[in-house]
Amino acid sequence: MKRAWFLVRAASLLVPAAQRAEWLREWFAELHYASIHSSSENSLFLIRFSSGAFQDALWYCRGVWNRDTMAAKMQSPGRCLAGIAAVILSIAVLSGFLPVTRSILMPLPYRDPGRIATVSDAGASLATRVPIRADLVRLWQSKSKLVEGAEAYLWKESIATDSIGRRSRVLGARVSDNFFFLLGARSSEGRLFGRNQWASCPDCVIVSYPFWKGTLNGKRLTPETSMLLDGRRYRVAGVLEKNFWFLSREISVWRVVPLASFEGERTGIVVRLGPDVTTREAENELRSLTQKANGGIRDTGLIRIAPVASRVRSVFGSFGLALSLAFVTVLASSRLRVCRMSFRGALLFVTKTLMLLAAVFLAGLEFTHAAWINMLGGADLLTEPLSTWLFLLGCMGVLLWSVRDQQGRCRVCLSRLGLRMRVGCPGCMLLDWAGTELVCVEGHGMLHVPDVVSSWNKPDHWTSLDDSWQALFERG
Amino acid sequence: MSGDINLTHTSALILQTIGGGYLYGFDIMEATGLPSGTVYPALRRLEQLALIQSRWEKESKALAEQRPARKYYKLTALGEKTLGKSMQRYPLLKHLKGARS
Repeated sequence: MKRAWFLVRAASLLVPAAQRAEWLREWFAELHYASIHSSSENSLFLIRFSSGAFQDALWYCRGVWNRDTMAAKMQSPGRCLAGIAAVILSIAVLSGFLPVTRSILMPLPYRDPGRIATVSDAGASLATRVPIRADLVRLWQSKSKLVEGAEAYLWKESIATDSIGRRSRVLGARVSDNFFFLLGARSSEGRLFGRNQWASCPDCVIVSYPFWKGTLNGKRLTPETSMLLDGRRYRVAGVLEKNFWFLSREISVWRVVPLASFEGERTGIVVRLGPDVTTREAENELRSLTQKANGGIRDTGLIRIAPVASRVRSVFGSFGLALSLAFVTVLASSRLRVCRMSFRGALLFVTKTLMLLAAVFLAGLEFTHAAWINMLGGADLLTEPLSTWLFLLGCMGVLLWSVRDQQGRCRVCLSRLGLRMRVGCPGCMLLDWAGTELVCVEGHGMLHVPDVVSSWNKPDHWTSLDDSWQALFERG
Repeated sequence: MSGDINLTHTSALILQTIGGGYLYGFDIMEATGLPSGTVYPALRRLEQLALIQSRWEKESKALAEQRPARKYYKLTALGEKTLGKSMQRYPLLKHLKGARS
């Protein structure tokens, strides 16, 4: 009986609110007689009986919620905002609750994160950042007075095989001896990251917390805990703390190797700046050290130091630039007259635009990896300008849609206008008027949109309809 | 308008059942053997066409018998006229045992 009651209740949601109470009253009464009629063990009969409530309720939907009113309901300002909110929620759920956004907004998981910076070679073009020759690290480690430490890093795709033989494609990094010590990273399991602590363990790897939880099932590390990386067995000697990440959250396995093993390679370089040392001072010192040691090194004058925090957050600057460009473009091309909007209209316009821009930003961060596109610095030269284009196109799309949507809304109730009608003679522009008329389904007014905008007519014209027109819009 | 209403066999059967003295939804279901998903929407449609009329039973009477009040349906004049025409259209309906004993 309870299930049957629940089905009737659920079906009642389809019935228009005005008729729901009486509909429920009849169905509950009928359910009572059906339950008396059916034997106690025949609950299937009651379920079948009450499932008919859905067909009955659908009849009400067909009869009362006709196409026009449904369209009007779906186009109401509340539904519009609810739809955009649903898009944002979907982005959040699909991305696993915005991991990239959260890591950008939260403090970086290093000791004195403001002093951690990456060094790159701006190369021939300032628009790109390329890695630096690893042999410079040793020079800077020994000679620099403004930089407390310098370490090399490099990552590539690898194949990891766990203890039961499952293979997975992971991003594996090679870092020089004191990389984790320089960052001030902490471990959540296994060995700590002290100075020169990992030099004695060439066959050890450190894994990220998500990798440990997922692939290694979060089991406590023992001296026997091992895994295969690119076919070679390594002992898993440490697990990074849960929120640790460096430039890319996708790096799962870290191998600490001697600096000498990077000889001849171009790598990313991370440095810890001394207290109160500016990036400009450090850049000048590293340039002069490099030139003194080997004046023949190409492009030494273009060494650039960027704090990791600013590189991480540069995505905001990228988005801001794209938004500014999009705003100027749309403002120049659209006919939106902000001053003629009502307060409610302006509020709706601003709210939906901001919500959609937030959706573009979040989708850009979470799904196109725009954050580390900006951070990878030379790892992929194609993607950084691509992310800026993505933001630009997204922002322009949002602003154009938002303006167009606002123009097609009733100036009174802010619902989308309907009953689109072509009027006038398309060729008669001088003494006549041709265009499209849209009407508010509630009868608040009409919008006249001319086919061709000229100097002697308004781009669009709103005509308010008074109460004498209401009889035309009453629904039977 | 009455002449224009062409009922389906099922609707005509339900109309005949109501005319035969089966007055509320579950009762009609029992008499016709039709499922609830057919009977109740058909009742709405017949009422919309003004062939039947519904009224709620008095609460006091239902309370005295310790049961919920029923919604009763009865034929209107138009309904009786339409039923007559439907009987001609569906001759088998005449052979069904109509009235409640």
